[in-house]
Amino acid sequence: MFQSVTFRSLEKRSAATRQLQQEVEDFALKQDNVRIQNKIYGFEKLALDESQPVYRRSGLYGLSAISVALLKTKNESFFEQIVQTVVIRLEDRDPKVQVAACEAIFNVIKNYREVVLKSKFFEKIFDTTISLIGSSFVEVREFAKKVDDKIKDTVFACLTMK
Amino acid sequence: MSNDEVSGVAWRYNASRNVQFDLDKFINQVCQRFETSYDINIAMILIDWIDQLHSSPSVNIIRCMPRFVPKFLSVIELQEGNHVIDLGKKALAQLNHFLEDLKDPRYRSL
Repeated sequence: MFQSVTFRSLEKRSAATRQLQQEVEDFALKQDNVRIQNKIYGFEKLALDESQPVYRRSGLYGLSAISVALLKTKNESFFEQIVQTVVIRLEDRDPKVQVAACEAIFNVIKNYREVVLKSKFFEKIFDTTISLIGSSFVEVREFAKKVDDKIKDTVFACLTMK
Repeated sequence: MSNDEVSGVAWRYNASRNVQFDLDKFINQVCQRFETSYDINIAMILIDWIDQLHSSPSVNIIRCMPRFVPKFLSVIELQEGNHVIDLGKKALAQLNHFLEDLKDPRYRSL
């Protein structure tokens, strides 16, 4: 499972991600926090692996999928733990890992919205995203702009509600 | 990690969650990044942020104008390359929006 979310084929990767989400949703419905925590630990370990960028990307895809599954079941307990790891990887030295981290943080902001704005990581997320917009890698820059747009949507939606 | 420990983590997280989005702190962060931005792409994005914050009725970003002016002027006076010209035009347009606001004493003030 840990390796399968990083398949080259988008189809296979999507299938593995869906399977992971389903498993985590089932754990969450059964309130099996230990199994959820174990899944998070597994992907966190991969995301924090310093030896192979492909492991870090795999970890980020997994954490992103878990965060979506947890929100579906209204379980926000592990939010900060997941975001903390993703934020670290936004500053990765490998541009492909940075792109994966952008994708993950995009999904987190899209799904958690105001929770992200109120979290202690928001300042860091905004600051790092802005820095990535100045990246010399086009793909990183484009993904960072998407994240910035999502932050904008969320901030202004929040201001409109006030 | 046992179920109790996990529940403990979850409880501590939920207890610390009751935090409001700090708009003033965020505006200050946008200002700081703009003041210190040397990359054209970053400066463009930050002017977009300033423009959109300025458009929001619930935000009085014009009070930060004294902080923006030196950066706006330095960007406007740069005249090399198409990207820099675009940035200069954007900065000038934004500065004009601020000045329009200041002309009207009933509107927002410093």
